[in-house]
Amino acid sequence: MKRILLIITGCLLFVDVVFAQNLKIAVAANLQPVIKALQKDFKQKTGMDVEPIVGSSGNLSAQIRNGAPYDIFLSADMSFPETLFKEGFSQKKPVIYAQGSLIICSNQNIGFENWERLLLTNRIKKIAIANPKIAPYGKAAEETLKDKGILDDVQSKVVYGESISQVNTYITSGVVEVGFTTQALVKDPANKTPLFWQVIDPKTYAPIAQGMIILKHANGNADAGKFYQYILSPAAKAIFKEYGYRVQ
Amino acid sequence: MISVDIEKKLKTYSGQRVLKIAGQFPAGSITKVYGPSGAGKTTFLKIIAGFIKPEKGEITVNQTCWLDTGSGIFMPPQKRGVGFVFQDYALFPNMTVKEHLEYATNDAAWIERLLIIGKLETLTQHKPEHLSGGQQQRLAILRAMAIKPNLLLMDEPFSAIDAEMKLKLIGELRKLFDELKTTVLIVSHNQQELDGLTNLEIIIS
Amino acid sequence: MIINLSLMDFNPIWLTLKLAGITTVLLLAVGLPVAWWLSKGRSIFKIILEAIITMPLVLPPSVLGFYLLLAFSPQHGVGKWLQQVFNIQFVFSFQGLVLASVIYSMPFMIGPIKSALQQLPVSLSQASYSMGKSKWQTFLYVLLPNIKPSLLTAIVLTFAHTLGEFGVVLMIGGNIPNVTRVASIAVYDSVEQMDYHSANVYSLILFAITFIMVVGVFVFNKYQLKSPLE
Repeated sequence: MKRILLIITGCLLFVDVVFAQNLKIAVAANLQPVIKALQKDFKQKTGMDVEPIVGSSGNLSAQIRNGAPYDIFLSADMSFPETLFKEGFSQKKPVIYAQGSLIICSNQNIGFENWERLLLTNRIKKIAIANPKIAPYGKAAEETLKDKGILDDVQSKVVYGESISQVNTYITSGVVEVGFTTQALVKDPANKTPLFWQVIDPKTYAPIAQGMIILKHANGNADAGKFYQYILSPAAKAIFKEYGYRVQ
Repeated sequence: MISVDIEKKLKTYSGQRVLKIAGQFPAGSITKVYGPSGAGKTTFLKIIAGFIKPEKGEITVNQTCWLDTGSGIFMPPQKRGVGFVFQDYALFPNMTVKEHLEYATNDAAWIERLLIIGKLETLTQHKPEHLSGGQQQRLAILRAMAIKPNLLLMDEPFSAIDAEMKLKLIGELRKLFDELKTTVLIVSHNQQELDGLTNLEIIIS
Repeated sequence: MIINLSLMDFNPIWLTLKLAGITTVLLLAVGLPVAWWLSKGRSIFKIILEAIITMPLVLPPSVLGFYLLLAFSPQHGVGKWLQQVFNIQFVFSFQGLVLASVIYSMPFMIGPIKSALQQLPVSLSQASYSMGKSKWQTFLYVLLPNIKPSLLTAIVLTFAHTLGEFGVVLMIGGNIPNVTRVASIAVYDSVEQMDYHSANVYSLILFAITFIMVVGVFVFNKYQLKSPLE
């Protein structure tokens, strides 16, 4: 009996050691669809596995601040990574790896040509946006509503998702008639729900500059540097573009 | 006139037994139900009261059918007007002595009379937890009498009452039974206890 | 750290108290008869029902929230019917939170009451019946008064449990200020925004309320047992 326990413990430790070698990448919720493609491509090119942890940028920042063992953080904006840099959680300034694209989306075929007027009608009872205080796409959604002059009028219909992931859940399950989300959602092959959408004019909101930093947990880890460079490489940029992001 | 004929399966330590009782009790009679412990005396009373349903049986009281398993007739206990004195008293912990009797009847004079008979007139505001064993048992008896029952079933009703009090109490109860023309069945496993009170006997074994 | 209460938004606290209060009252109304029914006898149907009622004790709140989200989506089934006929939507509404809380806190109301009723000697009910009292009268005047400690425990547990509800509200609440933004969500939000001041104030208030309630229950129960002669 004792021998079996020893063997099992040994296996678990071994497993733990194996997993500990994987890079841990904190990934903002809007990247959930695209990180899978990036993972696959990176593995093909380097043979390395990475472990993505998806959450809202605000949530992930708080975790990093409290010692979460992440190597790289791909945020949905620049301010969260910049704050972390200023607080000393990174030795290098954040860099922009892509620009987010905001879309208006529904699981019903509504017709978005005049969406700013559509939102005022009774046809639309609930509008989902990500919590603007912690999710940059939510902030962008608010900006575009303000730009169109309808933010106050539709305020009573707005519901807030904890992250862009929750907004997507609301949209695909149909509990809201429309939502503002990332274009990456509609390009995600994992999404089986037919969606109807339209790109929001980028001039109506401040650009969603998504920043990446390499965290001090990865100090001395050459693999982390490889992934960092990969994200900025043309191959990765092509994948981002495929998912609707804007890249330099 | 009460006519009882029932069959009930009992679970005992040694397996199952069938309790079979048939008896007739004239109106106004006082019957002692006697037998060893575990014989089924309490079950017998509870069947008559309507708390337990036997597998087979017929109970008729003054030409009214209370139970007929053959035709599916079962009169609920609420309608039978049976006063029941429980072996464990079954007093209501939340009610005072007076409240117990008031729960049973509105007749204030009757309540007063019962309290005096049971010697509880000075304890009316007490809840059961503050009564002695004997006082509790007397309350249980008074409560059963409070509804002016046609049929009174008593399960070991004097076990906690001292001999002197018992004599006086039985004397008073006798008068009440005569007044109300109550038919009474009293369970006891003490052979001599009720000599002089009861005029009939039924033995369960 | 200095606590500045003048700038605080206490709406989440009021909303939370309102939710807990309404839920507890509703559960009392629903829970008492159900607990009574379950306490009498056993049938396979009762056993299954009791298991279902107890599920929220072990089910992750997010699972409950998820199923409620799907069940009340205005695009199909019940959700659609409610939307079309009554113009109510349960998701993202206070009513939805009430419904979710009732389901989620039900075992806390029904459990203690049912146990307490089962522990009452059956002879109490029998004595009451023999006095001509109906089942309802018996329940009201004999059974209920004799399970007061458990009843109080059930009420307090239900209230406190609803105060702390988070997972379900997160799924179906939509974080709407003054509608579904309850204190537990407000704390979570504040932490995410690094507004630790607000997080602290909300947390302290919630802690104080629940602590006082729990202490109150203990004191009441002890006092009941040691009650002097009237």
